[in-house]
Amino acid sequence: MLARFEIDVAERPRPHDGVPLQSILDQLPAGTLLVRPDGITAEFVSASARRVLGGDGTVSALTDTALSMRTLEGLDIAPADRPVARALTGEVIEFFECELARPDGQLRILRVNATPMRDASGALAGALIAFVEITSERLAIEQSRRDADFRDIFLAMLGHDLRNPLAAILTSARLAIRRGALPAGEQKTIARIVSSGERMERMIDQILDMTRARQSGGIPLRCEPKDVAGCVTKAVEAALAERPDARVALELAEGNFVALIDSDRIEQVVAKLVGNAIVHGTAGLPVRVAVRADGASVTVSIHNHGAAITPERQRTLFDPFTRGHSPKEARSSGLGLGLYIAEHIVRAHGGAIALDSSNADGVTFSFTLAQLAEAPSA
Amino acid sequence: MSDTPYVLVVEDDADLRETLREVLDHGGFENACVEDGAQGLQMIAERGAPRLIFLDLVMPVMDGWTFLTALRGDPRYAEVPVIVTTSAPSRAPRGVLVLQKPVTPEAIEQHVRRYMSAG
Repeated sequence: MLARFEIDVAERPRPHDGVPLQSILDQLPAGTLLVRPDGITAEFVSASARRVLGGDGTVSALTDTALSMRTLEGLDIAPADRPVARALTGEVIEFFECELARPDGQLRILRVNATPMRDASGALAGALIAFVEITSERLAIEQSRRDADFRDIFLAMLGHDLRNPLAAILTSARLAIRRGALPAGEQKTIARIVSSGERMERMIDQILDMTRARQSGGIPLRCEPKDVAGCVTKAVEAALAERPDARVALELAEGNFVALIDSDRIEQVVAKLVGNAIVHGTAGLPVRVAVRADGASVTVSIHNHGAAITPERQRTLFDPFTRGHSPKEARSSGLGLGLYIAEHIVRAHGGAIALDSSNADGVTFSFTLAQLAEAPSA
Repeated sequence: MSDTPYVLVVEDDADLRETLREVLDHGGFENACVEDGAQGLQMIAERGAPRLIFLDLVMPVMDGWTFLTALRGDPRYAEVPVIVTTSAPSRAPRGVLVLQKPVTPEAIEQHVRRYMSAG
């Protein structure tokens, strides 16, 4: 809020209970001054006003109509439309934002209040001006806008410009394999193009998701009433297709598992957690994936018999670009974004991923979704 | 107007468009490939309704959303099946089948066979 106060303009600065008025004004964080009816002469110019407007108290940045004053959209403000001139015609101005040039050429952005002052007879005695400088605030907003523009360009580049040529590479390579009749050596070469292209595709997806997760809108969802158990089953099947040697026990309790979800995204979360559980579990012991409902929520849990996750590692487990130091994690070809994205997806559904880890009981990741009563859509 | 059933591909990326043409040629499917929505509407005006359309969304001149609105607004073509192929499925219009790029040749052939045989 800007400082608002009354002043007896008929009187000169005088000691008030032993404290000069100017000393009081000089303590205010807002700039204040009283401009006389000539529109040029100023009095009661506070220290803050002198600092922001420059000069030695002549405050020409506000009163000198030869100096530039613009709206925040960059339009020139005519002398008659400036706060001092308008207040001297009797108008009350509030929260007038403008960019003005100081005599030394520096630019300042102000939020200005201007009020006409009258003497005891009602005659106009001047304009009381109070303002705060908002240069830093506006520059921060402008920087934030530029950052948002940059993010949009970055997302468009990743999502479209980069993925289109990759799609051409992958589809062409897959078509070459499909046509068959390739010598064994070329078959292997093209298969490598496909696997590397798919890896690049996963990385693009992850960077795209991470960028969206960090934006205020978050990862976009297309939610519909869906059977969570169906999603989990598909994700487990996909994980087993990747790792046919793995053992995964799927436990689906009796009941209704319908929730308002983006099924593709929930599959992505489960696939990530099951994939991790396969990698970090104990060979020979199955990963256990369970879905249960209690009438209010549907809980999905993924358990493996691997070693406990240390408290230090747990603290950064969901941070972006983090990987553990175990040999298994060090060999990972990913970006270290999977759990970060998974947590954001679950959070966007109104839930959170919980972790339960001990050497005795193994490691369990679980998340809960609000259960719906309706039947799933087809 | 031609009576030969065909698949229309509307895709601005030249390499991807050519790849899709190769996939369709390999499957033995008659096709027409154009580089934006305006050319897509022009092709339909010349050759009649395709049996299926693969539609990109982000394109110059006329994007996929505008193309789809124009198509659905014309009673002659409102029922033509459209599969949106996009890098950003979350931005796809509702009510159409969406395939995220890159689409595998198998998926393309599978969908085309379904719609070609349905006709």
